[in-house]
Amino acid sequence: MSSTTKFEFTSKLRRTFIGMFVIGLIAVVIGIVSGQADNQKAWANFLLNSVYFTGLSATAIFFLAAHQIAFSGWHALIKRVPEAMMSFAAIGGVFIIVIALGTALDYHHLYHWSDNFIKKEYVSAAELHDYEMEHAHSAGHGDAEHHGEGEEHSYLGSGSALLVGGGEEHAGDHTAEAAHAGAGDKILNPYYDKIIAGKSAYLNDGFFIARTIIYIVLWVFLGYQLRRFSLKEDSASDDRWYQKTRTWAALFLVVWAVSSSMMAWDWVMSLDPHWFSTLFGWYNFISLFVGSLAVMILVLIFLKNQGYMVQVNENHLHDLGKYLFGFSVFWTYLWYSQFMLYWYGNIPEETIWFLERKREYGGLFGANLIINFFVPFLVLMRRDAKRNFFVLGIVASILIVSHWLDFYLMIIPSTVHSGGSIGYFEVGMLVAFAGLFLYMVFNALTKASLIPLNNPFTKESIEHHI
Amino acid sequence: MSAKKILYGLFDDEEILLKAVKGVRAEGVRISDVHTPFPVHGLDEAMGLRMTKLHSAGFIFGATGTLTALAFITWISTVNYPINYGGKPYFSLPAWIPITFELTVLFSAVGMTLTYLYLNRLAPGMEPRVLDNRLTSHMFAMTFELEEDTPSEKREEIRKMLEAQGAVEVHEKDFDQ
Repeated sequence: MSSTTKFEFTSKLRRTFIGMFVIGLIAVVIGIVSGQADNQKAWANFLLNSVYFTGLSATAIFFLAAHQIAFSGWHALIKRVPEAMMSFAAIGGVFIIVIALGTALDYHHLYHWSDNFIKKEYVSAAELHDYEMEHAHSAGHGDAEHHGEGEEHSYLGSGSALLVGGGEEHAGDHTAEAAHAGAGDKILNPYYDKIIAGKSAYLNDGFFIARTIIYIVLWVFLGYQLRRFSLKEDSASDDRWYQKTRTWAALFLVVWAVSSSMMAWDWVMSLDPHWFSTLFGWYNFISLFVGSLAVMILVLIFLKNQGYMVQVNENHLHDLGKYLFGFSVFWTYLWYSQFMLYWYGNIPEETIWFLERKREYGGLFGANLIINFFVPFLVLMRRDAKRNFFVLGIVASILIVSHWLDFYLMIIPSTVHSGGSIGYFEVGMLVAFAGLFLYMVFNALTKASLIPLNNPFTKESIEHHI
Repeated sequence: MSAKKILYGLFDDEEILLKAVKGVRAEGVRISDVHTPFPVHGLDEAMGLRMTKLHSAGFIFGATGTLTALAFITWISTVNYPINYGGKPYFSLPAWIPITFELTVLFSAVGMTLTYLYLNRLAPGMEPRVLDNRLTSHMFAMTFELEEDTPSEKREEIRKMLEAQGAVEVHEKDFDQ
């Protein structure tokens, strides 16, 4: 193989990615210092980008594992790209673990269920007093849930007042009871949240942190194994490593089947602990997978433009384009299935999730569906479009941002409620993460030959023709 | 349907066929069609075939299905027989998307299937044009459509060329429908 099969990370490219990271970081720091983003907003955006970019990385492992297990031949030439993409999972995973630890350490109040006080039905007057003192002057949105945002939540109607725990109703009981009860006796907790209390066996700090660490460790470990065997294969004389990889790929798929759904419940859905959706896990997974495919396509087009990957041609891009098209349609199917059933059922505690988004983020809510469905559907429908690097590249670029927007719409309204915005702070955070992500990906690309040397399917992939 | 006069050469190997297709085209003779018992890789490019327009037909059928479903449900639910379902508005677009989707797929699938059958003369009531039974098992045919007034010298020329390119047999066949 010629020397061009190894990627050279030029200092210009390095500077670009580091520059993205630094500029983004400056915007984030300015945002925090100037107060444009309060504590809650800063953590919410950190969570958003950590989940999104770690997800892109983890779905790249899924891409590899699924193709490995299916004896796929065509992807052999391009598999170094998803292999490089998985290198971010470790860093992004650490970010998420920091967020999970921050939940327990009260660095932020993203996860309302982490408040143990609301899980107790009866408390002593002293405890109640302490709790109220502690939260009285707090400006954080998470704490204001029961007080300051009463107006905002009033459209919930009576259904939610009952279910959320009805702050005012119980407060009345509390003053009456407090008059009778002595200081040491337990009184009814006005902040008691029956639903969160009921879920506390699953939604508690310890288990949450443990789960987060388990997902990350398993993904990173299994991804690392796939990468390690793939590199060993390059200098092997038989297909021993290829066969070994199959076992690890199968193991990853089993882990992924469970953890992909659970990470979505834990990291994203539990931001709204009263609300649930049974297909939320697949919905998150597919959103990430579309983003991951879009990144793969862009990296490949970039490499080709730089003169690398000579054997990768429009046939390989066509296949990736078909995935992009198909999974975009599947994403729409899941988005719509989730939306329509709640719209039809019209039960207040179920529709609240969509109402919050439609009222405060109406434009983005509509744009999310239109961009993520109609753009890939109409543009990529034709065969020529999928084989045209320019058209495919444009669509992939749009989808990367619009699936970030999809996660924005899942995370931000649940954490900062009506206070969300997309300004220099949010864009800065996104750019900083993108810079770091791309730096990691391109750095990993330099570590091995861009074309797998002894993969049994490399020849087939070179001949790939559709 | 008009009558058709077809001259065809039979080949017994796809490699020879592929070379012959390139050779014949290089001599500037237009090939009408090539029949093979199985897909031959690279044949489409060698023949210089345009992409089929069946996709465009599929899109049009699908769009017809979408419009039919939306128009029909809208008319029923808002004009013809409005019923209040659980307080939802008469014009309840979200509830109609599934049926619209299904009709889009149905129209597109059925339409494309029928178009395909018609174009291949396999639709009910059509007589398929069978050149040679061996084309379904082990032989390959390169065909040339002849006009009524094609001079016999021209036919001879094609015959010679086919044989030179490795055809094992050369025949002529008339289809009167």
